[in-house]
Amino acid sequence: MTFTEILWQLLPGLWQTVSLTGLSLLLSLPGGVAYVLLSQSRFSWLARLWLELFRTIPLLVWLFLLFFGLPLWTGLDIGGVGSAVLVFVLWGSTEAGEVFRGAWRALPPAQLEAAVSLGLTARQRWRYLLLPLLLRLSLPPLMNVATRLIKTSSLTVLIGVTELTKAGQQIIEREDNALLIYGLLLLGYFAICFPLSLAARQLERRWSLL
Amino acid sequence: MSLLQLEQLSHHKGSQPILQDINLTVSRGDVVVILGPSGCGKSTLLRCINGLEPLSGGRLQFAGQTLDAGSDWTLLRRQIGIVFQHYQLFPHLTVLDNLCLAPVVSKGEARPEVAERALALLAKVGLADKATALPRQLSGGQQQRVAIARALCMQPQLMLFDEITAALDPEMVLEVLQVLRDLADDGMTMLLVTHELSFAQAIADRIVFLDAGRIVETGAPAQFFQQPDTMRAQQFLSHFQQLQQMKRKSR
Amino acid sequence: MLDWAFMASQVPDYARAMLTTLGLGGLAVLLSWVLGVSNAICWYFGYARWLIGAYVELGRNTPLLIQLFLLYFGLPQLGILLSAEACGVLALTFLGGAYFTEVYRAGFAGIPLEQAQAATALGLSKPQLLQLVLWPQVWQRQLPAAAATGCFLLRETTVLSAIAVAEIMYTTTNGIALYYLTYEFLLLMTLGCLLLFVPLSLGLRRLEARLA
Repeated sequence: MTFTEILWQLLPGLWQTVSLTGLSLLLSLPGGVAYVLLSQSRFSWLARLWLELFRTIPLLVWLFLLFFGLPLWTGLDIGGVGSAVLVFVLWGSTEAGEVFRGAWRALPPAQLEAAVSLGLTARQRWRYLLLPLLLRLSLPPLMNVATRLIKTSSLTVLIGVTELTKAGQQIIEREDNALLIYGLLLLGYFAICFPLSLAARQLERRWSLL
Repeated sequence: MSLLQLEQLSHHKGSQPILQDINLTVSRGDVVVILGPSGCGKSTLLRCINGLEPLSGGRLQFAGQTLDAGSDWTLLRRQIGIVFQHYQLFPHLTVLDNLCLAPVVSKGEARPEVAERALALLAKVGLADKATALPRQLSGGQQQRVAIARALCMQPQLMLFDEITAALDPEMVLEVLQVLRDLADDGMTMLLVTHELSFAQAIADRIVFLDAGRIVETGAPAQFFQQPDTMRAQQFLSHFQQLQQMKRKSR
Repeated sequence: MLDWAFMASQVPDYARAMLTTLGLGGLAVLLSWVLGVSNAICWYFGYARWLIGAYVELGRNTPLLIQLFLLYFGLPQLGILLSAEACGVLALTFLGGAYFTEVYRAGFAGIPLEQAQAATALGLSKPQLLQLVLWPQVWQRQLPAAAATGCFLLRETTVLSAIAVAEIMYTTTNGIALYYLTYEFLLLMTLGCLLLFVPLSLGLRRLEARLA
């Protein structure tokens, strides 16, 4: 099998990885807002529990629990992809939520005062000062969450999702060159995650409020 | 013609009185410097005029409007400018955008006119070439001058300055004070809180001396600095004079 | 409903699995900690920075699963045959080393340069500077971050189930495949994980609180 043929075979797997991760991330954003609202409400203990459950129990365990357990308890079979998205969104919401809370805490109060002193109303302050600043403070950490999610998505091969790793394994079954294929996969994940981490660091430096 | 009048203004923090029975009249074109020892409430007084601190009692009259403890300060803030010790420029906007934001957004002016005015103001404070720079690319003195231009871009009738040179390196203090002097010469009504006593002496039309939240003495600068009436003012000035006359023992 | 007797019969296997996790994970934490600290020290004194930097980026931007598969399935092609447990510890050490390097690199960077300069001006040699001035501070300040990394590594040992290392996950999937008693095994797995990882979390939280 030529090199290009191998890459071509890996493409559907790559697509699955990207779409799975992308969807989970997208849904984690409103999920994160929900988490923040919950943590500020009377039921803040619930948010705390939610956070702790996903920080203490490894994500692989969660994947198995939902993949094997959900059909048992509810009769619903959402498959490997469905379980993965569910787990990732539940986890991603706590991560995004904590990013949002951190960004909120990092807002400089004195500059908000300057905006008040210029006669800007609350809505104007939100639109022109708070929201832009919150975005700049949240984006780099969110990119780091994305990187971690991409890496974790490799675990979904263990619950039968045909993502990048699975595509690689299928090639190995035919070509029997595990060293090359897994090496390629390693480089592949690196090629996706490294630029993301680098960009996140650059943005953080460029947008720092100092 | 009185522009600003404070009548029995007071401000409490919980049960602690910070300002009590403040009566002050400022006419158009006046330059008033507020002096006093640390913690006497000078900054709080400025912030009450701008509504950043709420009034606990008394009234404020400004250009025909009367405000008290329950009023909404938003409209007034657009006519009174304030510059802070730590400049507080918006870090994500360029210098030009910092100046244009409030007039466009809160007064509804058209951006081209505001930009023209902003560039003229930047030229006036000596920073015309920095219009597209970001705040963190500027020195402290430059940022403070931008902050002054930003407040001026709202075309206020009164400018408040809260110890605006206190956080600057000595070389930069002069460039900022020169801007203030030019502003005063142009006829702007100004209220300053400062520790730069020589500057206060040079620029003020009137000195207001505050101690423990009350106005203790007011007067022309020449008279205040040469022969203060009250004991507290004399004590305050003596510290300044002692510092100026500090010498080593001859060896 | 639930077969409690059966579950009880599986407890010895699960106990063994938990010990495996702690044993392999603990070893990996130790080895990667040593690796991380040595890397950070080399970095601080300016040795092999490009190599250490490349290692950290590679370790942190690739999934543990792939690192594991590369070792377990790829090394035999080169004639190197390692047990699943050995591959597991190696992969975990590779990953953990990258994370610990970051933790301690940041730790050293957080000590103001003036301190090191003052120490050198007072006549201390580099080893003395490290031992007497830098390390005590770095150790203390980075303790929470290091402990968190350790906990993280222990949680990652679950990935080793993919190459049939007999820890909790593998015991569960194996059991489900053999006995079809999914409910029971999921429950055992959950209990095992809670028993293993909750004390770790609580301990970490207590440590952070004590040092804050």
